[in-house]
Amino acid sequence: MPPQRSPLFPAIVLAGISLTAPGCGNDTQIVADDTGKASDAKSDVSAADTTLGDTGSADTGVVDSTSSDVTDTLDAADGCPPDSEIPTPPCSFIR
Amino acid sequence: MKLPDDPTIAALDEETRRAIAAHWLHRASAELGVAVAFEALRPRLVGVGAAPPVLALADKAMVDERRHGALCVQLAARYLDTDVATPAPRDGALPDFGTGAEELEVALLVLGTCCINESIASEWIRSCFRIATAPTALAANRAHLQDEIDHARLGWAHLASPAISDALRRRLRPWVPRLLDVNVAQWMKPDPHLPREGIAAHGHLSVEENEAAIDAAVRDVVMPGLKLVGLA
Ligand SMILES: [Fe+2]
Ligand SMILES: [Fe+2]
Repeated sequence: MPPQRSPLFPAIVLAGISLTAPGCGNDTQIVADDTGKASDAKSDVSAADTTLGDTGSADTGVVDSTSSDVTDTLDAADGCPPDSEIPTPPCSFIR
Repeated sequence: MKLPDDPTIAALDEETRRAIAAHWLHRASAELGVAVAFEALRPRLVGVGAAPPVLALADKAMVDERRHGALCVQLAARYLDTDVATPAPRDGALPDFGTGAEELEVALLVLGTCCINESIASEWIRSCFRIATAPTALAANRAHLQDEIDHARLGWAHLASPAISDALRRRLRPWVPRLLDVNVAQWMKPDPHLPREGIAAHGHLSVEENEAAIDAAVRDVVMPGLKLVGLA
């Protein structure tokens, strides 16, 4: 069985970042286009059924073209406690 | 919310109806707890200079989560075919990561609550919606999904905004994999109220479907999002 894929990246991530950083990513035009699609994706979801299928999942172009220019100079273990001490933020569905 | 007529509920056996009602009552308490959490987060977002669209989404989230709590109570009542009392909110206190730096604390709260948990919640509800056939389950999951998408957007909007400086982003990065691990582990726990095989018609995933939905959310939404905002 192929792995389940989520089509929600444009509706959630691209639409979210477009609210505060429309130029985020190297290609503003692509982000803007995908943001348009993102609103569609949300209305598709709300409109109904299973047709949401694979729409909108193929946005890896945006992601791939957008590597961070932040240099990660920190060691992963630096300044951050072990997992057992990390508290879990609230979520409506966590058991 | 006006729920559609649903003859499929009366056709369920008593045990299944009780199980589904227990799930919704538990969810009601959790949703009300998240409303409390968003209320506590809102002034802290203001304090760190969050952008107006982020604050607007926080305002919406508080109202949404209260409405979700009420909807979950309504669903429990429908499956039990009797009135039920609204449960107390689950503890909605925001965790303290112990960094001593308010900007980092708020960024971690937003990362965990919105970017990770609300993004996973959105894909998880989409999966519930896809397997459901009962009119009540379709209506309830559709209503939840519309809002959870906005709660997830809040997180990505904040982390992409000028309120997150490059220096703060660097301090945030080492936390990301662990915050993700800790939250995903919570999501992977089977729902204690429901059978392992789920109750598909009523929108309840099997243990395997639950895991697949979470995997898809992390791989296709959260990880690419973290890359886009310079956190992975
Ligand atoms: Fe909710
Ligand atoms: Fe939510």
